[in-house]
Amino acid sequence: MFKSKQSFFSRRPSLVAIYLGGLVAFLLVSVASTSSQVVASTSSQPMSIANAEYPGGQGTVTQVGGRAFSLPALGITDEQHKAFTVGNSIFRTNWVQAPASVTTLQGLGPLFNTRSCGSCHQQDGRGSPPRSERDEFVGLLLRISVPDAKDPLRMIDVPGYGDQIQSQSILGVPAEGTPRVSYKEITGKFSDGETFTLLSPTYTIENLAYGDLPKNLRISPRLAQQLVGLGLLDTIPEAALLANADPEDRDSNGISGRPNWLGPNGTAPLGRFGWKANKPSVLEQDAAALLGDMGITTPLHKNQECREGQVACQKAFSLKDTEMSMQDLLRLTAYMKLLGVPKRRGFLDPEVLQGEKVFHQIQCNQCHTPSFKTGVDPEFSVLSNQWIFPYTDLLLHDMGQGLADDRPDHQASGREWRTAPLWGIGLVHDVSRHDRLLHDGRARGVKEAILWHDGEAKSAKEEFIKLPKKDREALIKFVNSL
Amino acid sequence: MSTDLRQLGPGSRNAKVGWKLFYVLSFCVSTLMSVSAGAAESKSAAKPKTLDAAEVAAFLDRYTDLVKKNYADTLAAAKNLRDKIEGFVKAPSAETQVAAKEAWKAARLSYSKTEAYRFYGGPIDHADTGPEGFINAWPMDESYVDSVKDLPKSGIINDKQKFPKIDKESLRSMNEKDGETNIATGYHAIEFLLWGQDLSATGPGERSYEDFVDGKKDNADRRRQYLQAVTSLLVEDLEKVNSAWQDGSFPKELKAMPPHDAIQKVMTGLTTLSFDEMAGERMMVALEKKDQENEQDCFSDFSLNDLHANQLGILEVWQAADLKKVFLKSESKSVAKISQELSASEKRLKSFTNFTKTFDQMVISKDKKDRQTMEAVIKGLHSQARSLGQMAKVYSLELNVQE
Repeated sequence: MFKSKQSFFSRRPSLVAIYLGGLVAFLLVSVASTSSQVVASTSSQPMSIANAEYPGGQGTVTQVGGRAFSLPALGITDEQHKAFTVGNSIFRTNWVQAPASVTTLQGLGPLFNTRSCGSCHQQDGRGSPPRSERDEFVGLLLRISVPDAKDPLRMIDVPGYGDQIQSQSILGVPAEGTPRVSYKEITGKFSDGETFTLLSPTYTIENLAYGDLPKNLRISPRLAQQLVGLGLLDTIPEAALLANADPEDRDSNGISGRPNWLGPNGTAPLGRFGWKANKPSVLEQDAAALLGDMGITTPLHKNQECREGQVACQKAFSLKDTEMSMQDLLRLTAYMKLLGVPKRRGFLDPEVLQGEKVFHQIQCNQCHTPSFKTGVDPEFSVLSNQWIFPYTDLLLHDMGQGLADDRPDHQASGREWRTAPLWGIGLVHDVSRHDRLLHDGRARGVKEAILWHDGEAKSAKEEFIKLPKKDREALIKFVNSL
Repeated sequence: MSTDLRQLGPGSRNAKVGWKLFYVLSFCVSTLMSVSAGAAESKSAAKPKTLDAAEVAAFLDRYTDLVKKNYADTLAAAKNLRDKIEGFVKAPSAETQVAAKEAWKAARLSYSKTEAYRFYGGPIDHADTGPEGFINAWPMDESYVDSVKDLPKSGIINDKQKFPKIDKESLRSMNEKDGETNIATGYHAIEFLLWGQDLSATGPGERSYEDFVDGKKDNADRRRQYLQAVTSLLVEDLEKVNSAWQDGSFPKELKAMPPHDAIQKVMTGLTTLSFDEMAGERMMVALEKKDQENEQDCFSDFSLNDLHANQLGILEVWQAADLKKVFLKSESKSVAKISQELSASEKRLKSFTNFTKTFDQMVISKDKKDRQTMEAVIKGLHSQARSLGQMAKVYSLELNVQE
């Protein structure tokens, strides 16, 4: 049943009035429409009504531990389960250099970052930043670009390298370079005197194989994200997202919310996925990552992106057909779209409820929009017409200079990032055995992630700093219950 | 009205009033819905049934005894494997290799039964401490460990520069370092070293014992070190799991839980193993991709025996530890159905192991009957998991089973 009322009613003593008001409203609903948008199912378990304990709607799964992000949404058909299962295997298995005896998994590289999807998104979870300065990057990659000489506001690919550093390669082809990160500690204080420490990263690239990088190089680190609920986010009607957009901040609350339009001159499609919302759909996100991160061609990207001067890359063996078939790409996409969102933990815990109150009180919900109703996915009914609780508006917000990468991406400025979904965040540790958050994993847990917020989120962050410790902890507990 | 509601719902940030109205409406609608739905359903299942706490406690005792016995057996079988591998490494010959392979099969069968105790965050796959990833990770990219056809220099064994030392510690740090399938340890790494790549359409891998003889093949010494280290690691990891059960620390945790939660864990293990693992990852993927290498024991062609042992493990929880007794009084019909389905699956898998064909041959077989045989097994595994899931629902136990 609908349990979000708990947090609401805890602030509203007048139950009778609400019941009466609601009753009238209910009668109105019943009269106006027999096929109400609010109630769509009468089964005993989570229904198609809003139930925040089941953030993924009826497909929500009940799982904690290492597999918390790996289960298919509940209620898919046998055929969909087949596609999911095969997609899962494609996701996890290493690709090998062609030509090879394994016919369905050949074609890695020539340049790449990793050998399988699952190596960065381990157990469908979040990548982890290197543990030390000399550690290899796994699950964290560097996007690069350089301002166009003619139009410095426009970013273009870096000559000889392209738009990301590919740190690995097949035999006989030099890898592009080795990314490195070092951290500087920054300290600060809460209003009650408690101190905190943040890690501020600096990125460098060593062992450059294709010449020097330009001095005005822009680097944007991107951590592999956890994958639950992507299909649901893909299905939110565009209008519902745009309803929250306020690019000019007309309501003067200091918060804009800008859509990232990916077409020429700011036209459709609308970006939804990636740290800067630079991909419009799960399918396109998959195909781009396959090519960029693993060097796998698909019917969406039929050619390798060997750059000028990357001679060995250009000469490397290539198959006649694309390395991944459309059938497998669709299976992989089905897999990613159907990964189920885990049920919340400690949903009625008094501290969690208090934290939820604080969440609204300091207005985290202004960007981390709690809920949407999905539209219709023509293929997967489990994604359709669901009330979901992703805690994101999927829009871009200025997050301040501390988090800025100064690398515009389509319409996203160098200071803007897409609001990250919060569902499943409390299970990151279970799945990935680390608690590193934000776009490059610099934050060690929810507290530090909040403290990095700035720009449009500055006032929320400052409110957080002023909160009594008890409320700060309650807020964190609430976020970790998501 | 319904359209207005959506606009005013929580998806809308600008209309603050919307939140409150939305909550009120949803609450009232759902309250009324539950009243009417309750009335409609009262004939069948009005309220979730509750589990009998005493029955659950008695079951958990029996379950603990069963698990303890099976992990003790598994550990003993792994130690025997370690002994046989010591013998093989000291004096590599066709005979000592066969002895090691037989010991591996016995160890594998014993372990496969215990997979019914996975998937709920117990000692085997606890989020922080569970060694499952070291013991049983699969699939395996063999060229990460040793040379394969066309890549004679590949793998840790042949890369002295990057991996100067091969011992327990270095292997542990490499496993799952860079990709879920870079599996440097566990049953399947040992299997690969004993059998080698399966390049045969009719039988298992045919690695020669001479791969372990100095002068016969490059890096034979490092191959021996690898095999020894990886087997010792397996024993160590199983010791860890075993002791968490034998010393009573995990059973105590399990029994301290509300009966509902404890039973939910145990049953999630059973349904996940049959539906997602056995039917899904272990059979369906191979069948769909028609890829010979896509089987659990792809080097030894032992997958069918694994599957049968998995099912025996499930059946033991149901019958020997008598999980069914927990539900017998109030859900006798479901219990009978589940008993029947579990036995049927076991029989199907048993006859499977007597086949002249191996798993990979069936996967690539052109004979329609082979495919149908496999599909029947998958269907049976789905069905038993669904029946368990449906019965569990009556007690509001959530097992993540697809309907």
